[in-house]
Amino acid sequence: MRQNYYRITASNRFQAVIQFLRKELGWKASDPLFTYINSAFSPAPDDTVANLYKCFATEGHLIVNYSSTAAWG
Amino acid sequence: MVSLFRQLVWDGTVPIAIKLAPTSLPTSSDRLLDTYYIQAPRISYLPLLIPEIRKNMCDLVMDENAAAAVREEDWWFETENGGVMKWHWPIGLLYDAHMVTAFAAESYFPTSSSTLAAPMTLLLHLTNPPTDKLLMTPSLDTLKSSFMSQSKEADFLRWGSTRRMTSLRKAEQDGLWDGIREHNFDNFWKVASKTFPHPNPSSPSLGSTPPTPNPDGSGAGTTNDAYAVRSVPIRLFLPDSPALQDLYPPLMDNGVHATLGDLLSSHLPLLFPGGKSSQNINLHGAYIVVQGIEPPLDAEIGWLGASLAGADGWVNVCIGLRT
Repeated sequence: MRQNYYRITASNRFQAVIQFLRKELGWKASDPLFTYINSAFSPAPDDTVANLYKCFATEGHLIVNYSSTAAWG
Repeated sequence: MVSLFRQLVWDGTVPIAIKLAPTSLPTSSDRLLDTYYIQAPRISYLPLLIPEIRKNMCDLVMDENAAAAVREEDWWFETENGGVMKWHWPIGLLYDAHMVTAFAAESYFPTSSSTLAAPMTLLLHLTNPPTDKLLMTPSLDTLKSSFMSQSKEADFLRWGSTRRMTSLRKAEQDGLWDGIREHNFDNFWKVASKTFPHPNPSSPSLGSTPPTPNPDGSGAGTTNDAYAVRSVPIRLFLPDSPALQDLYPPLMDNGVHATLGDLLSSHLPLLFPGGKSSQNINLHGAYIVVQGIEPPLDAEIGWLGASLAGADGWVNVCIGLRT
């Protein structure tokens, strides 16, 4: 990816992050994409970025990990 | 006491009336069978009901060829006012969120005990799922991984890591899901008791005086004390808006046990202005539903997290407006 830090409007659902990531990576809709917060769990796609930030932010950032295969259990 | 509430939550059911959407039916269908009623477990999920609905409704209404052509991955459920039912929400949450939005408190809590709870009517569509609203397919693999993810998110909120969930053996993790699928309380809680918090022995049961709080949080790495968690996994559901989620510590800054009233008055002050001091919530415009009951506002959130959480560890608080 071109950069590691992005800004997103807090009221977006996490689904918007997933879609953005697909576009940025140039992955097709059929390519498997797994997303995690803090290398620990996958949030529900209908949860909002605001909720996730309030609960799981690290030093002002919400850390999203992605993978093409399932990771972290 | 906590096992009693866990059993009550586990045994909780909601009535659902399922109607086939007329547009989904081929003309050869027998339309005499209009509605199929299910008393569904609150902690279960709609995809788990599909085999029963298919056998007892679709296969009877449609002729053999039409029934054979039905693809379950295209199914979706909709309420009468157009709400799309999410596959990954527990059925009890779907019911509570719909009922508090559609009806006033007087309807949700009938005054006469002889009045049965109203069924939630769902239209079953067999084609053209609105994937942008469903966000997931009704496949059991997807549902299982969604359940495990929600359980891990709750684990992370409580303890700051998913160590309790990830240290379960594979057979134990599968056992959690099988316990839900088979609705087996003992099999589920045999494993879940390793990850869920317990109200400590000196913590208050209903009606007793709160004990002296112990806010030092020591031993949080190993304890399962419901009041030692970092945050209680709670989601607040307001009508027709995304859920509100935040850090909800079970102890306030002064070490006192935080109550549901404290939480609501600090996060939704316009709806819950009084907090702890005004127990008569009838004075205000809003009411709350957790697992189908209206909990007292002085219920402690640490206790709620240990006793009234769903199988995924989350306490879902639905907020409705009184007329």
